[in-house]
Amino acid sequence: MSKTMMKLVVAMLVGALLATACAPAATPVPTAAVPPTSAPAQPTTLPTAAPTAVKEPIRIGISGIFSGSESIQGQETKQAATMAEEDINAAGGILGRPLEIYYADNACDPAQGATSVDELIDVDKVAAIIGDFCSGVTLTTMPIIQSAGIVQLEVNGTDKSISAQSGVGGNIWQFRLNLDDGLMAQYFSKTIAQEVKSIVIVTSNDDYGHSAAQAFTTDLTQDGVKILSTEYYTYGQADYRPMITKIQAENPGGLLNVADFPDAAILATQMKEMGVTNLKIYGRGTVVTKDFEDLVKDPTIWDGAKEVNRWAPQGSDLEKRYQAMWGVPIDIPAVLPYYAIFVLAQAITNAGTDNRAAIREALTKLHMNIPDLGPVSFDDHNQAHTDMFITQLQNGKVVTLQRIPTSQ
Amino acid sequence: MTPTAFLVFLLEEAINGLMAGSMYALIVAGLALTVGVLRVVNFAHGDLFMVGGFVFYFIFGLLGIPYLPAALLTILAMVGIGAIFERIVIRPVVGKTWEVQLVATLAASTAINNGAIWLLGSMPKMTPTLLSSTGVKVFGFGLSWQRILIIVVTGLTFLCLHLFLTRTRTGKAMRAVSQNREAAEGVGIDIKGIALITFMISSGLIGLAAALVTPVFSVFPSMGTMLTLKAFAVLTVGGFGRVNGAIVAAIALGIVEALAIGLIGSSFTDGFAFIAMIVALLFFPYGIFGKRVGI
Repeated sequence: MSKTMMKLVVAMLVGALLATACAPAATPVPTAAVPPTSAPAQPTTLPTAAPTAVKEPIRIGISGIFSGSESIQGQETKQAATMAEEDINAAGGILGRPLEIYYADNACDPAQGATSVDELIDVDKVAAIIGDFCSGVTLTTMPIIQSAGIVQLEVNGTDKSISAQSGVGGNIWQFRLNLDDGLMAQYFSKTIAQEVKSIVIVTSNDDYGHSAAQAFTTDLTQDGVKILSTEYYTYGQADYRPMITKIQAENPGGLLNVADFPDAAILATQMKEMGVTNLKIYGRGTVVTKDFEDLVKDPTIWDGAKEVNRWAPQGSDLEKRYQAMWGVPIDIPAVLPYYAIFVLAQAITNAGTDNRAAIREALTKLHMNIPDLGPVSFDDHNQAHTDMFITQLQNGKVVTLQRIPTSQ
Repeated sequence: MTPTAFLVFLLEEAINGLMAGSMYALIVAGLALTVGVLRVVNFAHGDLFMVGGFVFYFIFGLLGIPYLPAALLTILAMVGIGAIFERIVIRPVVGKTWEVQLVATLAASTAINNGAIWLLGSMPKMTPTLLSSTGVKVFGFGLSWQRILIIVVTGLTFLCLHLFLTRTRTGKAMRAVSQNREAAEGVGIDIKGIALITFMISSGLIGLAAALVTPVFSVFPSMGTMLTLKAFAVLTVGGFGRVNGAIVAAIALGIVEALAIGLIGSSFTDGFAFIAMIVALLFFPYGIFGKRVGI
């Protein structure tokens, strides 16, 4: 191989190193929708209206993770959104107009996120956006939505700084339905402090992970728990053995894993392989979930692990219908987008129009109750205070230990 | 930490690194063969590993075929897939400019990646085996039989590969093609046939890697990208197209990564490979073992 080619290849590799280290852009090809096997239930809060002659649809956009190592979340999001769209249209739509959901892929990558939001705003001309599911992406797109004057409703990103920069004195167009890490750390740290005196935090190496680690470090330290170290993983990382060896040498009482189930499952399996089974395990993400259990296929792995979350299975009608429609149990990446669509639908109904500014105004005054989540209204920083759930893995099953209102 | 505990800690990290390096070596060796013999830079290499992982999951996880036959079937399947890939993607670009090769193999990578998402969904798959679920304790830390198998089989595989390349007629022909294509053609070596065999061996190595490694990790559609980038970094450090160099570099990288994680921290894990590449190239522009491309 010539010197020139060698140099070119090396330059390319260095360029790849400097470029965003996420999966390359890929055309999202979500799985085909499965027709529901039972009639959809009526949505809980929308007025019914008989469909009239064909009317201009009301468009809501979703900037989600439809490619990359976290794309399983996007798959669940699209399934839930499809259900919500069908439910709302079956009840007569919004203001008598059909609802249409538009999707754009952000791959959990800030650069792609900006493009996805631009596409929803300028090409699809949506009235409001649900997104972006990754804190780093949301923080990147906040100036874009502010400039465009369009509401963006976060449903998954938990970085405290999102709401710190929203509402009064900040970006009035950014709202958040899900709880943030500040709130969850405040409550969950007390649970942890009752059980262990020292802990290692294992978190993702991105804005979300760093922010969550920081929130928990502050509150755990205040509650008397010593943070021995904070370790970082990359989404899709295959080998945790060196990290586990290091953790084992530090001899902590517990381990806090800020992760979703695909990455948590690998860490848990390899910890068992290495015989590291004496730590108390705590999760922040989708660790204590049926998805995690289905992946590890061993109920003894991380049995007893506790997690703080924004939702827990409650045997609701939505859970049963989702299972019947898609053949898999519903989980957090599906629940919150599903209800977010109804939240926006209610705001549009209250506003009487799909004008972007009117939607924003209506959201600031919104008061509704979603039984699976709790009360939904937005504070001065456009943050909703739904209920918090503490769950535990008990012999392969997810058990809810506590449901804590955070709106007081 | 006492001095003894610290030494045990270092030893454990070195063993962790040896296991990770063995995995890298199995994946990179095939790439080194492809680059060395065909002069083709295949950016879909990591995605082929992902395909191998799903093939193994299908045969072992879904069909329930026992591990050893499942592993052999995975290797055979990947040899077949490799032959098809060579015919469709690689053969048309052999001898073309590097830009053409880059676009063709990147396009193949994207197609495979997205095809896997569409066909199989995004849910990662895990296929634990009896060997990955049981093991021994070495100096107090657990080592699964699957990990030990990875190290042993990797060593045997490369010994066989070395013997094949140096003692067999086909292996010598492959080396001849890698050193001087025109001369090899001039003495009657079937270049197309050698190209096909090279790619089939490369894919077979990927299939072997998938069968060995998938039980201890997971497989998901987008796993190929970072694997490909790391494989190229290892290849560059070892000497472009040098199989022996790639193997040594892979194992060295695995050990360096593990020790760095243990001693420094894990926030730069993926960067170590590329930092090592840049440092190596500063002192060895053709790679540590490379003078010219050729196996």
